[in-house]
Amino acid sequence: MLRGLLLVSLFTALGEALERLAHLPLPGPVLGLVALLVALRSGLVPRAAVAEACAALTGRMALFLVPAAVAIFGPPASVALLSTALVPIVVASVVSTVVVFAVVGLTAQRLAPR
Amino acid sequence: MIGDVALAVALFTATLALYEGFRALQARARRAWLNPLLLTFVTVGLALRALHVPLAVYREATRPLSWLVGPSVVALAYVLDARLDELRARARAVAASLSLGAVSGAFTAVLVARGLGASRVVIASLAPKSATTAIAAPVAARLGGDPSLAAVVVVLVGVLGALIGPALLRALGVRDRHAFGLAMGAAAHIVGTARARDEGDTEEGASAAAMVVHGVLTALLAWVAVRVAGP
Repeated sequence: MLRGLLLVSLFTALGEALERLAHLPLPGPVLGLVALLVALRSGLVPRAAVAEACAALTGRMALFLVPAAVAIFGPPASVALLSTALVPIVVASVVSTVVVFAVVGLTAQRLAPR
Repeated sequence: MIGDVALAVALFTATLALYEGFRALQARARRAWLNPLLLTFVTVGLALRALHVPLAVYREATRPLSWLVGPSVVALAYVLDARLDELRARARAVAASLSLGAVSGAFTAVLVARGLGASRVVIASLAPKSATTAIAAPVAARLGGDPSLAAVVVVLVGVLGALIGPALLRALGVRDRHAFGLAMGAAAHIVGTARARDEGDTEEGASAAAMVVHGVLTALLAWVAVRVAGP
């Protein structure tokens, strides 16, 4: 478990370093995800070495975001941002979500192998 | 000093206890709106206000949790690796649907928000809204948005998607089980994946994989959409 956590931490650090060095638009953790995927696929990192740590981390992902979400109560009050722009935020979120459902669902069904 | 430490430990413990409690509640009641993150952050936020605890104190106390956001995103590689062979068999459907989903999701969010007069900060916070929260928050921050607003919007989008998604997909005539799962994971990330689990293994697997792939694509497309279509 601890060895797995060490490996995941190393890839997180690698992602952060890549973000800074390569000036890529993707945030460090996403770059770390891609790097770990490549390492798992190429056999550089055995699946068993990270299995437990990854299951523990992904199983509680939402918990780690509680502080970020609580910060909306401010200061600086993001709640104010939310309330002053409530209509654009709600309409844009709902429209975009419905569009993603339709686009992904219909495209995947049309191209599904039979 | 001792008092500060005691308060920090109490805040940290209360956060874990609330989250685990709400998680157990959802596991029993199986309702999308009983989302543990949603219920925990609202309860904590209101409690901090009522007890006059400054947000900075809470942020310090729960820093160990925030540290794990990055590693938890990296750990999604394992989830994706486990599903990759399954995705390969349907490579065309997966690649086309998720790319189009990421493009349309990021651009509609940016264009609709802009059309309704939202500020740059709000637009940058909404652009990554169909990625999972742990991806959307840092992406929003990088684009000059507000990571807290992004986190809250993404949670609400997930809950909305889990509630309306299945009925919407059926109304659209999406009967293919794999396509159903991909759409749930792309549009409603982890909350949609939890809902897809109720439909079956195929739906859950497709949804989990779509959440990761669509999240990564959305991170990239949010940046493109803000640059091309943003104010």
